[in-house]
Amino acid sequence: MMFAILLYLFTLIAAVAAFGILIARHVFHAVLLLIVCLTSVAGLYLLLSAEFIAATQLLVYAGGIVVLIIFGIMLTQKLSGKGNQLRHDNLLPGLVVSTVLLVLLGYGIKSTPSGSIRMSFSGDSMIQIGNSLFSSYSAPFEAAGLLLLVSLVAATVMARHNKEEGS
Amino acid sequence: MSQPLPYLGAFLFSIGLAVVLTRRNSIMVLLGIELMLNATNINLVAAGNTGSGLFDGQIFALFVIIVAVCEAAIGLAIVLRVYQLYQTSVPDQVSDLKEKN
Repeated sequence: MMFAILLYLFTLIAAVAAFGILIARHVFHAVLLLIVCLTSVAGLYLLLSAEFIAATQLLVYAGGIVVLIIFGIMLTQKLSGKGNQLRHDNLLPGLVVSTVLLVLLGYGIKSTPSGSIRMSFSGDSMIQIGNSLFSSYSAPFEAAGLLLLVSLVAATVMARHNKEEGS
Repeated sequence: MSQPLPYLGAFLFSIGLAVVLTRRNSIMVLLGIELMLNATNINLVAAGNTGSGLFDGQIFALFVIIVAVCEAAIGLAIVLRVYQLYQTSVPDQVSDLKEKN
């Protein structure tokens, strides 16, 4: 019972926060709502007994990506200025496309049989993930490390402020 | 118990798509992409939770998170570079390939 209450509570919080991102008037408010949404999704991962993914979600998203985005906001516009007042563009086509997508996805999900959620806080999943990352998934793991290195170097090179270059 | 999680995934994906399509700020576009990646992650973890002792769904979600980090870093670097060149972060105003003189 407690499990179901928490499940629907986190789902509701994530959905409401996501909708708030869509209608927020200020970039910074949207980022704060994104933190709320990502944190409640991490709570959902905990309920699904995916502890490692929940921890990674909190560390990487709420701790890393959101801070990066806030830095991006602060570097590209004045925080209290008019530049952050957002306007919507292509409002009708965008909403039509996303609503049609939502209806189609909902129809597809409705006609697919779905199992019930099993929860077990055994801590087994972390051991299993660690074992498979270094055995059967070791090649994608190394490729991901290479990808992270390449993207780090590329981001540094691209964001470098170079006045002499002129372009 | 019927699962609300696939519906949450679909809802978050649609919201992310709407944010990408309707917002006039490149940082908001990045936020929308993050929302869409999160929606796929919810679906992967929920579908992987079968109790069969396999954790492939969670590992896939892990790789999606890694790709999301790379995408955010590169995307913000591009946003900063474009802001240095054009003094704007609205994608529609960036329409010149060549510098004006």
